[in-house]
Amino acid sequence: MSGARRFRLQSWGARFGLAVAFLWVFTALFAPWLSPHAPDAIDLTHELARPGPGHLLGTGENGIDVLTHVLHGARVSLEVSFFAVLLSGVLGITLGGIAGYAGGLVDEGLMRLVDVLLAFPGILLALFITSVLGPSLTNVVFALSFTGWTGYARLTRGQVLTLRERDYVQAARALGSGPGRILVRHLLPNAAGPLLVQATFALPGAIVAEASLSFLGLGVPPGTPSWGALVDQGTQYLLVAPHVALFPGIALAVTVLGFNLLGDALRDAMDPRHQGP
Amino acid sequence: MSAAIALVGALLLVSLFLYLVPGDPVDVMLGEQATQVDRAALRRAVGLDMPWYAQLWTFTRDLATGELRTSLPPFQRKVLPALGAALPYTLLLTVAAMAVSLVLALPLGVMAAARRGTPVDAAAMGVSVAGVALPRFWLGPVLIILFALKLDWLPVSGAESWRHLVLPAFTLGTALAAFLARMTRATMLEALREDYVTVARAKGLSPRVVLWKHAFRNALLPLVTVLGLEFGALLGGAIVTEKVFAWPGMGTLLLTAIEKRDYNTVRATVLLFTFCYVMVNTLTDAAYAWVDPRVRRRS
Amino acid sequence: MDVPPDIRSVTEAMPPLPFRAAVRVVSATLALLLYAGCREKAPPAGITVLLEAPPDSLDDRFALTAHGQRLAQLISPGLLTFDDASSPVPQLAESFRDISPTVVEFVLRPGLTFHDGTALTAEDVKATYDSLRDPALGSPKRERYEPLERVEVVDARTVRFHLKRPYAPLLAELSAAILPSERAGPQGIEAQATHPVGAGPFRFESWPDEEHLTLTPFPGWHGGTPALSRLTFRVVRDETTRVLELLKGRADLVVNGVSPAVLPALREAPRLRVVTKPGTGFTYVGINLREGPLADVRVRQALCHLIDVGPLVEHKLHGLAEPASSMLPREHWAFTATPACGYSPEEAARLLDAAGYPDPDGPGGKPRLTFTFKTSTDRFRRAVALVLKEQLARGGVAIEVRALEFGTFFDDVRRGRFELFTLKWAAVMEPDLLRGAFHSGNIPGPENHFGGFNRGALKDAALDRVLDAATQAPREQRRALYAQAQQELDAVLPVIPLWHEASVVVVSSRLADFEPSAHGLLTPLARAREVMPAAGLGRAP
Repeated sequence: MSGARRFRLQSWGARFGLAVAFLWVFTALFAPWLSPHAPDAIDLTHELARPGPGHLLGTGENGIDVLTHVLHGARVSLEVSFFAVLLSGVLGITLGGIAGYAGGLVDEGLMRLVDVLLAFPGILLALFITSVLGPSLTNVVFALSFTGWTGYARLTRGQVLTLRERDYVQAARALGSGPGRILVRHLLPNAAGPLLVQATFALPGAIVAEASLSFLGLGVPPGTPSWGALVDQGTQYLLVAPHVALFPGIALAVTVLGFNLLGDALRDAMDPRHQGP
Repeated sequence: MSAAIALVGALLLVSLFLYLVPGDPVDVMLGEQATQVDRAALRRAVGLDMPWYAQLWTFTRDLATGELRTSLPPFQRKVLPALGAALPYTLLLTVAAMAVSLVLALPLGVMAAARRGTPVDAAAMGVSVAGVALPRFWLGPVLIILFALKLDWLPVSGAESWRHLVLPAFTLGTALAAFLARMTRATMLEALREDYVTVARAKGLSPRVVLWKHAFRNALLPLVTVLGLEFGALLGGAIVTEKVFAWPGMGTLLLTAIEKRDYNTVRATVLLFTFCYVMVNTLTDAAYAWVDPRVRRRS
Repeated sequence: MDVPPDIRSVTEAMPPLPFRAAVRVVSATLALLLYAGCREKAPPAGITVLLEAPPDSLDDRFALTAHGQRLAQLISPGLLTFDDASSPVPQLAESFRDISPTVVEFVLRPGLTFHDGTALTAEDVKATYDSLRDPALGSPKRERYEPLERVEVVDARTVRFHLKRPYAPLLAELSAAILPSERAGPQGIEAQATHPVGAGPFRFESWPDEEHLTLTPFPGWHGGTPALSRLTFRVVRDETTRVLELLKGRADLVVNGVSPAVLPALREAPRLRVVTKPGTGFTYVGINLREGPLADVRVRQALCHLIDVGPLVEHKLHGLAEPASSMLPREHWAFTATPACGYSPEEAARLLDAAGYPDPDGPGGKPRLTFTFKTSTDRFRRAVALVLKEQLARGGVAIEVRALEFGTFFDDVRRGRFELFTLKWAAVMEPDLLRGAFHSGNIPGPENHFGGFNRGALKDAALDRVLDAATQAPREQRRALYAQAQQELDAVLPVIPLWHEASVVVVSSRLADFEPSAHGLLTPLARAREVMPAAGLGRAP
């Protein structure tokens, strides 16, 4: 069982997904140099202007440049989704690993906690958390991770449960490796594949969740160029300035689409039975 | 047992949050407008002067006896009738959304699996994923503008007839459709590789029969479980959808209750959400066992 | 599925149910939907009004939200109401006069009846006000009637209010809904809450859930039967959806529920009319005077000089507001013009230098001062906060905008956990509100359960004296005293006045003669007319 399998680039979805991911990261890194305006530049006299020479994608509320916000939005969505996925991944893998390896009461307790969190409306949790902690990029990450870790925990636990009876794990144990070492050296690397797939799907999930929080007014702080916030703002002006919601919406949709296709391709590649002819 | 744990856990969790969130019903109700008022009396009237465990106990007792009333003075309406009125609307919406998502997802998923790796696959997946990528709070108004204003086919919002259900169900269902389509594709791919499919092919059955009769039936099983698990997400999504379409369901009830800090209604609604989720999953497990004899035999 | 089954066992063991049943269910549902789709219900007769939030109560003695109070006034009006200049005018009363500084006499209109057909007499007035002051009833408004000593019934149509001491603001509280005496006591709370009765232009019909309320015209209304067949109130929380319902022709009236930026789309619609009127809502920047640089009046004045209200009113409010210099609007009977700060970055720089906050590194670069600025999550307020941030930044004052969920935000404001914030007083009618907002006795604290309105904690003994005197003086002297108070407030600047938002009303062509009120009241519905839609026009069949 080797965790890394040859990634099939000939799949359409994979190619598209990779291209999107690359473009996304590139835009996020270089947004300040690509943008024609400053993200906080306010121009009340040109509020909700249609796309034109001065503002290629038009302007939004307070006359902010939509193109600039879409480009900077890549950066914000990258930060939020990356850290949300990272935090929930670390939390979930650790707790899931512990649950799977320790078993017994620890396992039972952790899994019931997962049940509670899964049954609790996720958006409500996020709403409460941002209400309590106040709106900031960091708190949005916390809010998303609060439930986000459960998926990883279940997955890791399942993987650990099936893997821990395998010969090489038994051998390591016989050779005197401690549980922590066995988890990190033997169990997790072999569970990495499915976890990576999970992360690929979680990334766009976090982007959409952040957008929903913005709709309820509890997303990123005002003025932060996030796609979700921009779509929310534009929805209000659908009848007078449809472009405000359209362009960030496209950026959001394409990114989510790309990562989902990438996830599908990765999953196919990870599955031993899905090896090509 | 685990259902009971989930319910108790949800109650504790929501109470903890209500305890942490600043503001209480009296403050929020009085707002910016009122002049000096008898706050202490109002607080006593709704039991806010009691310690948290006592409030929790009163809540549980009142809920059990059906005497639960809102935390909003002076005339505290009973909570259960309001919940009872909202529940069918939310169930109707989620079930309709689920139907919409199945209708959209199954053909797309099967098609993508049958032509794996081709542009058809990518396109089918692309179309379905578009659903998850479009935020509901945007999709809702766009659908209203298109179908209610421009085409004048459907009403804008409210819940007076079946026609009012179409747009919210579609708005809510698309995101699940994306997920279901991918699941269908994955389970179909798995099923298509099973020995019995190979055997069926070898027997010379037409590809269509093999696809639908053999592979699809077996692919349905895991889908049932997924549907149950996704029901929670659907309920959560209903909160946003209900706000957009002024749909008088539990999400609307919950958002209003949070705004007003109507603790009792918030707790009761969250419990009902959790209960629905747990019930649906219990039912799915049962359905799964019923549909799949191997599971039945094992348990 | 770890055990690959052979084909037969699977196909045979599989009941034929799931898929076919699912298809049947789905197709049945679709058929139902399509069938239902072919029948469009005829639009209900009458006028539909959209509200942003449900009323908290229809019993005026308990209604504290704007919607609750406005709806309660339609069903059960009081002795008085207020005109657009916020002066009291008779409603159920025919006339009122001061008998002495501590006695006011009201004469009721002849022939008033409640919706249930019984006559409205002075006894009902007395019973209503006695109930308001009765601790057993538990009205949150009880304290407002503390200066009232007793209510005296002179005859069936005459009632006198005896005060413990001269107290001019009481008149503002005499607009409370008059209820039938048998409903006024604590035993009537439930009946009045679920099926309210009053003597208003509209009679309660049904309130099946939080989202819908139906009223019908009352033929016994002293102003004549309202010319509407029926009045339905519907709660639609999402602004975009409200606008779309208006455009679809399914709603006839929205009062102050559509933001100015969206109005162009409504103005173009053939069936809709946008009517505006200078309003009494007051938007301001609240300041915490308790400590730090903001305790220095020069810093507050500098901030005021840096804020340019003109462009905000012109672009963000599309001109639908009046820049404010005082809490009272220009049209208010007690308004006084004050010097007001005006936009002047130079003056602001001078004041900040004098206060000891020089610019560390010239224009741009590091700020002179940094504050947090709290606001609710309301989209419009957030947008305004960003503009203020930009305007203040140009003068070297950095602010960090924090948008908080309303309950959280409001709690912070009440407990003094803020440096700057922005809020709006919904309708400023009684100038005694100045005492509530700026008297040192009204600083929120444990003794008033953080209910005081002097949230910035202004302590100004001279102002306290003026405001106290104004509560006891006769009206003409009150005007002079409030003028003095407004001058003092302009100098001390405990809040920065921004603007008075206009009342913006969107009316469909089915509703004629709706004259909006400056306070955003619904009472003009009593004088409006329902126009039957012409064939081929109006709503789609």
